[in-house]
Amino acid sequence: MSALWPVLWPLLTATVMGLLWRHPVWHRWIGVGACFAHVFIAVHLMGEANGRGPVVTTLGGWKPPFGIVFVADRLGAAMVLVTAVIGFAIALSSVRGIDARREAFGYHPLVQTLLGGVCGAFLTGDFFNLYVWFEVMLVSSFVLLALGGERRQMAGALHYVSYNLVASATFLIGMGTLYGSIGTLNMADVAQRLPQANPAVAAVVVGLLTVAFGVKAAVFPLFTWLPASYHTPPTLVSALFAGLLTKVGVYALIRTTTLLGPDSAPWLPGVLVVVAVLSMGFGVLGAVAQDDFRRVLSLHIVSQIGYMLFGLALMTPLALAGAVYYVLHHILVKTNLFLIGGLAKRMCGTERLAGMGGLYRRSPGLSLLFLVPALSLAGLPPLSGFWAKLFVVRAGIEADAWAGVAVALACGLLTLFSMLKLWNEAFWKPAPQEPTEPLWTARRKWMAVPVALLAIGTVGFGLFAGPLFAFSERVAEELLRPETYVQAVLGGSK
Amino acid sequence: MRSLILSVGARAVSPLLLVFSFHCLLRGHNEPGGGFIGGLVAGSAVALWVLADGVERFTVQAVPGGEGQTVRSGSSALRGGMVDPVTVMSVGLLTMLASGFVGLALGREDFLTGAWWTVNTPLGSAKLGTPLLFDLGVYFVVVGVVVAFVFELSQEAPQ
Amino acid sequence: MSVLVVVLVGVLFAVAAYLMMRRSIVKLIFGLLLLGTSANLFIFVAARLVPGRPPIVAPGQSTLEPPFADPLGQALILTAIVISFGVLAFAMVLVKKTYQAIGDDDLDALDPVSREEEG
Repeated sequence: MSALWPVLWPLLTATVMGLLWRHPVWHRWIGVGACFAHVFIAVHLMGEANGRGPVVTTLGGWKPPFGIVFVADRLGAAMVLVTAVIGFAIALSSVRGIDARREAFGYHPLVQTLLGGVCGAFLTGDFFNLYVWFEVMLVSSFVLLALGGERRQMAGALHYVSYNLVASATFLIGMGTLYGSIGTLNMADVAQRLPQANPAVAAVVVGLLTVAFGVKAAVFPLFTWLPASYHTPPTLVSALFAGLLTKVGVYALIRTTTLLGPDSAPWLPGVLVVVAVLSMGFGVLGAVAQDDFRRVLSLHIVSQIGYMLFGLALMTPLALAGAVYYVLHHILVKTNLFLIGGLAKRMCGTERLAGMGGLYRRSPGLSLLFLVPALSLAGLPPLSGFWAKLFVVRAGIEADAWAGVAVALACGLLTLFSMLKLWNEAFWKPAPQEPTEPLWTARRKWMAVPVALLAIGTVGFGLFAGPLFAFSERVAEELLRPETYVQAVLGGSK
Repeated sequence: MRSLILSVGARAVSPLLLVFSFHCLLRGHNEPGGGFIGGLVAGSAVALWVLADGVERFTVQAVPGGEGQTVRSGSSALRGGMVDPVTVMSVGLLTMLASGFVGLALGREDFLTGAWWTVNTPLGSAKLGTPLLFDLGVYFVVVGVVVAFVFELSQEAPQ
Repeated sequence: MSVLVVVLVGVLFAVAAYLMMRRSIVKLIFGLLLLGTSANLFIFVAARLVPGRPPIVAPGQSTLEPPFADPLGQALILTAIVISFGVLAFAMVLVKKTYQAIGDDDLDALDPVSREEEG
């Protein structure tokens, strides 16, 4: 039952909020309380998965590979834990940060449904349910994206919906092929049986799944929906999306690559390296060219996803551990940057960099809070981003992937440049017009609390890089020996 | 555009559709039917009503500052005494989740494990189980979703 | 029989692709829906077609007699249909809201204006 709770809990919360539909103000505090509890549920699961190996929960008394199964190995549990932390930060921020109209249309229950979908995607043990949780996540994100009905939101939502529905159809076709050829969709079972199937069919399956997950993860040729949509909704929604949604795609890529890759698709790592390098480069170049706070940050997501994929593609224990550490660090940092972007937008009245300025003089505290995640993203020691990049780059050197290493280092410099541009434009340069209203209203102070919490988390992630990396190595070890996973699922549950 | 024929017809057909939807729900375990189909049929009964009589039958157009205005749905609010579709959805979801816990509470191993009882009535015995409860939840969720979307789509844009 | 369905899947994909390339938002949504439908049909045919043999145990027997249609593939499709039903409902509301916001069904009307608005 324990691998199911992190999924059921947010859905239960959303249901309770739905029953209290007419009292959106209550939703805020129910959300905060539920997300706080969710963190503990996730910690508990983490403890179990880390101590005793993969936690397997079956549904309805059907044993794998026939029934629905939830599996929490170290990777899944760690992702759920970070998701819960982000959920808590967003819920805390949402207490004061969302307008009454969006609240009345169900903002809070939608956030909970989204969290449920994300956790479901991290914990599910078969491909079809992965599709279902993707859709749960997508439908709630569609609504969150379009909620409010501003003109540019509509444009963003249409891009996002079209791209993601095409990806879902691709995923479905891949699953149809998979089911038609080997008659199972349970991940562990597929890992065992796909190598015996026709290699051409296996290649088609893995290829289709990779394309579908690539769209969700926003990798190089498939990322265009992300910069088209992420800057349109309220900042809190952007922050939630930026932290979690693309990482679900990355998680799915990690899972399929490690579970199916080595036996069924030996060509996959080669493709991934190219995709990763191109994502790093194009993402960061796009970001450098932008002059809007959130658009800069959105394109950096693409670039950072490239680093994670680079680690994944090398498939050595060090590289994989680096990729896992990178994912976990990036979720915290990216959410935080978007939250700060939201605060800066409120303070300057605009997100265009040309219209911003003077924040350092008016609030050194906020500037410091910006510098922590920004420099971490750029990879300055001793912050978490430095270690993340170091592990991935070192793995690249060990694997003699020099081109990738060169691009990774160059992109690190460009990321630093881009972060300094944000710093110069929004914080350092004098404000274009003299501000009239006070900077810190009660609402903004409240919204700075989750920012500060996440910044402390980022610093902690950097300071305790040693133990965290040791954990990532254990995750990588588990991922590189899929037998453990398969054994846990198929060899008698409980 | 209002049609008298459709309006009168809907009055006769909609209750029948609701009864039929319940029939679909109950036969669903062993034969074609089930919560989703039943919910769709029931939802279409409401949709028919809305098509025939207009959505004003169910909602109050909000006049700025006027009576019946809530922040709930921008342009309109439900008439007094009507159950909100979102409430129906939530009750359905809660029923589905609850049906999953019944098995657990009775000492079964897994979430959603079915538990069955035989009920004897003067008309014969029937087997009732948690899958029916689950289907009932699905039924409510689908009805709620359909009705919510029908209301949303039939609202005219506020000028 | 299978060949017919396979051809149908192909035709539906072509239609979906064509519709998605159009400039009209309504046609884009139709295209996306047809894409989902053809993917569902694809699963249907990939799970093997066994006409006239539903996987229902005959009265008085305790097991199924082969050949019988694979119920799992159909269960998958049913789930996918339910999901696409929800997405369809949402997409229709989205089209309506978009039309209200821009007063046009043309995708090209979305972008230049939105850029103008921001800049």
